Amino acid sequence: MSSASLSKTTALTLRSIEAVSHYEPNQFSLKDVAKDVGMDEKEFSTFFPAKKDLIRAGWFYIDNDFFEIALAYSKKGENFEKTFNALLDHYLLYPHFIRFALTYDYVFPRRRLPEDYPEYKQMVIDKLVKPLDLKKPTLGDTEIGYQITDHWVRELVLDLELILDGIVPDTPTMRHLMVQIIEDGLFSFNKIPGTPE
Amino acid sequence: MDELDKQILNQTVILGSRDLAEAPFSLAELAQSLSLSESQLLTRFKTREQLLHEAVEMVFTSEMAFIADISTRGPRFEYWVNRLLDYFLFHKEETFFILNYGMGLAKASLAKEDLKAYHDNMIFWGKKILCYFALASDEEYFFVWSATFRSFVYAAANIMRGECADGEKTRRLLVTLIGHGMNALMKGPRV
Repeated sequence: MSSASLSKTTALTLRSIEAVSHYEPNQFSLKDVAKDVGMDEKEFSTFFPAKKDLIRAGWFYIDNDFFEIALAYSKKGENFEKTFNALLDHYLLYPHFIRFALTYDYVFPRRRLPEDYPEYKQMVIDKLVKPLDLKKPTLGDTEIGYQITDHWVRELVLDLELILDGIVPDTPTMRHLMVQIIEDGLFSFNKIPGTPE
Repeated sequence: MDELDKQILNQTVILGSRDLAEAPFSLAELAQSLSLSESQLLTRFKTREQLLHEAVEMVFTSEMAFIADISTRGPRFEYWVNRLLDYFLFHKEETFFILNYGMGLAKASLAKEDLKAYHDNMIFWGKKILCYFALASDEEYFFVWSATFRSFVYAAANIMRGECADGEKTRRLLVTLIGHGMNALMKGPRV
């Protein structure tokens, strides 16, 4: 594939992510998206032969964008909270990425483990878990590192959705709560003295 | 709600738990699985949305009532985590259904009213379930309980779909992540 057609695929993927994000989960067809991006259905199918190809292209693009930005901010930032806030700021500008990821990204488990899940997991480990581990190592093995990363990335996306949907206000207090529950857990909140451990 | 309504909702949970991203279940499929016609189904639930809404409500309320009951008995934290995880593992269809159709999980909803109801429900149940905590505001109850709740759902889903094993390592990780956060799983001083 030439670089010209590669960039056409990327541009089409970006437009398709935005189009798909306007539908209720799973309620779209390739024909719908082709129409939304202004392309003939037959030509569109040369880029994405099936719905699953479009979904895969979408999450692959979003994930790689996320890895790049998370690592860049992590290198710049002094701590997790600053990186988390920088990611919130960035993705609030790209709400369609968040809406797409919520329904189709593999970070959110579905009933069946996708066939290409091992490939996805290895990509996350190589491009995010291991580089972040160099900055602040996790206790235990790579699997623990993966599960922790999986956890905070999922929380970040869900927190973004709560802000985007207007369910919670985007204030420093709210952002601190988001970070506190991820970093320090339930027992960092006030407990009534004398209650069970 | 009569017996047939309950059967329809239960079957909705079963079919809805099996959905793939590419292929959500249809009303025709649901009707056929219950030996009903689609029009018979629609006399009881006017739209697919209404059916899903009521099924989500049924599952969510039963999960929360169970968790509240366990929580108010004052169990030790590790027992509480394991007991709740067992519940989600045992109720496999409900867990995957809520993942597919529940609010605030892996679903980008465009229905503002549903999201508002989800927010208010989480505060209501959060206050009952986190009865040993004195949180500062309704928003704290919302954040703390909704984040804790989904950690259980995701952990159970990952175990049931074979992403990780249901063993001591996974359960200990869950206890630590929920109770003390990811800082407790990292080396060195907090940065």
